[in-house]
Amino acid sequence: MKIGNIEVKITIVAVAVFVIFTIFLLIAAVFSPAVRSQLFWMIPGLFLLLVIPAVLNYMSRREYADMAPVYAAQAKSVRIKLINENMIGKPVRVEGVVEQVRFRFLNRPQFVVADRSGEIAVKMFTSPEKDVKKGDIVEVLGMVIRRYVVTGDPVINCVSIRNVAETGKKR
Amino acid sequence: MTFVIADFAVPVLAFCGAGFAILAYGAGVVAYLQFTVLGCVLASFLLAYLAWCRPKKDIVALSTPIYALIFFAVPLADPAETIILELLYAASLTVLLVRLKYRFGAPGTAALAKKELAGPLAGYLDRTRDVLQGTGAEIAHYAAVVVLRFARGEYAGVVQVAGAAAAELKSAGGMAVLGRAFSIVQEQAACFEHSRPCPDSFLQFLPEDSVLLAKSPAFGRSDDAAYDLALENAMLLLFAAAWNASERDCPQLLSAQDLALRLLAP
Repeated sequence: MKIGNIEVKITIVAVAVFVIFTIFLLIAAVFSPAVRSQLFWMIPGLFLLLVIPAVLNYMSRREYADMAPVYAAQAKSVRIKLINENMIGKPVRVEGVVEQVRFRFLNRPQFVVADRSGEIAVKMFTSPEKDVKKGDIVEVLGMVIRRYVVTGDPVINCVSIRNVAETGKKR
Repeated sequence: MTFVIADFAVPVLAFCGAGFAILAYGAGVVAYLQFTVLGCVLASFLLAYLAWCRPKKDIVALSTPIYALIFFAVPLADPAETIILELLYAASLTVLLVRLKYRFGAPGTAALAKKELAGPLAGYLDRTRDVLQGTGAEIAHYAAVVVLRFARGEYAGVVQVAGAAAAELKSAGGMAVLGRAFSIVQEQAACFEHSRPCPDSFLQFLPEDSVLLAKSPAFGRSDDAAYDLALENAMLLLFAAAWNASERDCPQLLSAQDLALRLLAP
């Protein structure tokens, strides 16, 4: 679904919750007259289970889309090996191969991106603009943060992750 | 040694608590059964401490005290259930301890990282001490500033300071190898600052410099790996020069130890 120029993605988890509650509601409505009399607000409530995640995804995607040009202007290209604790809070740009993708189904994907010097975890708190798969060569823009906010090794809080082929950069 | 004892203490404490629970149940003193959960609670806190001391944090092990409090804060009515819960919990802590040891590295480095030099880095600094102690205080301070700024990703500042230091060394006739290190860092920091890729030709160390370098340089090669290696050797050499000849900068240099250890790693 596209709103403006933002592609809104609803997670499979939200869809599964919607389907399960719909089934429960249908069964309850068949067997209970008390439930049937409440359907006038239960059915819109059911759809809110899809609408709320969609709105949240739209808001976060729009926020990230606004931030990406700022990061593109400020971030410095670095090798992954050079990212260290002293760079916490600094915007960076890294280029590498996606070695792992996790939690894509939650719209909170975590990538492991590697270049010739090492690998780093790249966390994203919304879905990327374009789908990124294992093996893709990507350019990551983001801020160095600690893995668990106040502790842990440095990771990248990703604002934008794009296939290098799409960025039009010569490698 | 302390960490080895602590490693053993986790299953020992947890299973001892469960063992005492079985003994108390067998002896018919179920009134004291609730105190045996302390073994599991203490073992959880110990496991969380061991996880905290590692540079790579294990969120599961770190959160075990929360689970211990949830499981054991309210005593169960049935003594048999308490014993089973303690045994299962002790087994879980043991599995988490094994996972922590094999997946999250050795403990201690995180706790000491900002207070003393880690082994491999200390070895390199010792190896170069005799030669680099002769570095002038001003050049050593420049080296420290370059290392610290580079660690923070302040590449524009690195270009400026490294350029000034290289010029100073050239005019004063100082150690040529340090001049090359400053120039290499200056060149590559400029590339980072302007997000430029690896150039076709770049500065490298000379064969006679190899005795002072942390890693075997790739003489005669001009590929990406040689480019990376030149920077790693240059940064480590500047760290060594600053550490060995500028005592006042040592506390700040410890904060850049994380980067130096990354550069030193193969």
